[in-house]
Amino acid sequence: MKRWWIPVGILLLLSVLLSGCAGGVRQDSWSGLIVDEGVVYAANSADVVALDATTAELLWRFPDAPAKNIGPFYATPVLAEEASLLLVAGFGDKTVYALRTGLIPAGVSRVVWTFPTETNSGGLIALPWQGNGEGAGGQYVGSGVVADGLFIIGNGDGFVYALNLSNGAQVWAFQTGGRVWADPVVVDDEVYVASMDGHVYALNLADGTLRWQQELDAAVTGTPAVVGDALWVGDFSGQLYQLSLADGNLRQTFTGNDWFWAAPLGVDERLFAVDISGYVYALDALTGEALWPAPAHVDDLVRGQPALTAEGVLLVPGHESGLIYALDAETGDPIPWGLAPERPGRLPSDVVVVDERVYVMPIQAEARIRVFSMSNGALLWQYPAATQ
Amino acid sequence: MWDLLVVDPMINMLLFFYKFVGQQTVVAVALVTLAVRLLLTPLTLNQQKTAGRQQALQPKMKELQEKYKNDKERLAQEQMSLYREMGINPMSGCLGSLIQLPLMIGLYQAIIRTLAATPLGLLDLPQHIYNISWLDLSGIVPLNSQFLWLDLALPDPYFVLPILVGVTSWLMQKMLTPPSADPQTQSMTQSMQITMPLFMTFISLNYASGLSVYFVISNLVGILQFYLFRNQYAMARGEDQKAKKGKKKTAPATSGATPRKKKTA
Repeated sequence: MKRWWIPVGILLLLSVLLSGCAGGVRQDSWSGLIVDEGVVYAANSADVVALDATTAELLWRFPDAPAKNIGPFYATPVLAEEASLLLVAGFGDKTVYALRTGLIPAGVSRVVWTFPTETNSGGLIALPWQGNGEGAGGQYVGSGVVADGLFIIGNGDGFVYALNLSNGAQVWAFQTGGRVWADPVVVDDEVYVASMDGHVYALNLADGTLRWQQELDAAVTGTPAVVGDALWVGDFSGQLYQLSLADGNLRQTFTGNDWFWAAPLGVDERLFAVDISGYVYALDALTGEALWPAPAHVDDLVRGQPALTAEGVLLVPGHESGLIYALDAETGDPIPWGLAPERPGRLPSDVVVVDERVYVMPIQAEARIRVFSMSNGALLWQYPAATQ
Repeated sequence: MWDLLVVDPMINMLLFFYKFVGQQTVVAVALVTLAVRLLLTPLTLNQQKTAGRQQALQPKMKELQEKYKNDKERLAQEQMSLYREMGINPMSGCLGSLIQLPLMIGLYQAIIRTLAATPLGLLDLPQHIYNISWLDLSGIVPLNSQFLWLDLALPDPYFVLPILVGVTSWLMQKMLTPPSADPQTQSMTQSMQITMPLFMTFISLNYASGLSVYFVISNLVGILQFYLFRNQYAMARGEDQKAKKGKKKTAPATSGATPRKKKTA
């Protein structure tokens, strides 16, 4: 009897072992959502959806054919041109899509342009007025920002791209020394970019030329927060830095316990920052002094940016547990709030608070979007709706 | 438990070498692969000595199979007593593989996790890094994954590494697998000599090139070890032959182990 099946069996076993050992490389991703004029725009795992914020009714989906998968997404969608254009950047197909919002007549494409012209998924037909097709070589993780007729976004290839909002043509590109996963920030005519090469760059908005750069101790993934005339940014060495907007000079540092991945949150003259070990810090954004006697701590891994409600409650997303932790923003004390949903999944994305509602996008859960009442933490709806 | 005992130490070793030896991921991967292979050297040696001795016993085994083809119980007893007589533990070869394979899979996992090509992968990484303040290993993440034309977190776009993986895997299979007197075993061995390198090439084409670097280095170290220790394999076989000759003089009825015949053209 031939024993050919033995090596084949061994190889099959090895295949199973190796594919099972891919070590955290999951198809799942965290993405973000925005809420505008009663509509929720979310980059889902495989598509982009627009939902009624009150009823959760699906208004439109892109691509409209369920078989087409343009995900996964990490970047939060961005609205432009008086909310008539939705800009989403894909991690999987390395493509920026400019989509028409609202209902569109039959025969009209939802896609206004893509960058690059040919989408990497191969599932879409390039339109003749699209950009010059130079395109980005890496994946998009951070979201972009709209300013002065441009859409500016960082890419995994280490470049920051500025695209013409009207046609997606590349206006300029600036190369950093590492992946750019943080959102760029625009103040007046300057773009601030934090890179995983451990630098913060200030660029001219018009042409992308360098104004100044400041080297930090480690990689930066969190979007900088602008408070007054300074920029606060955290890095993987566990430090928060306050840089002068004018020249990038380091004014002061604050040392946390672990990586700062979530973007710090600047509100008035206060800065809230959370490291991935769940330590939450409240600082005076001007002096850098701690506002709480000791950092608050949530027993969880935290990646997403917290949100501050009008009632002064700081909501912190817990990645491991999938729970939202509520803290008193004045003292850092925990506040009882909300109920743990069944099978909460994980919560690596930001918390969004709009109109007394709390929006989150869990992963590894049956729902991709969950909406809670701010007043009592009750689950208002989830998308897709729970199966009975 | 798997992470704690196998993967995490390797992740930290990778980060340690990265931090203190040139901040080059390729160098770190090479050093950790080398360290693991060196750690496994006694096992590899023992495994191959056993393989050599078992190979030398093949003609004798065949005789026994012929003699007791209708009495499997007796055959098993005779085989075991032959192994005992020659001082061979037939399970020791398996034991080596049983320990090596998980370590190799662990190293593979450590490389993939340390390269952390996706945001979720990177988010998973800090909980595997030892919190030793003076080492500060978490501050060096993410590692520089650029090397020559390669992004170590992505497959090689020019297929150089997959080809190297295929060639070195074939060479290693060819060198380390002894020919067998049993036609069925020989057929299986030959099949493995082709399918294994093809499989490794396929994996290299589709997975992170950092993994291909590990495959190539691991194969090269295996080949080097074979050259360095081949005298010991020959000695192992030689001892068996001497033992056989000695037995022939004193107890001709139980002799029969013959030295491996050289292949003639």
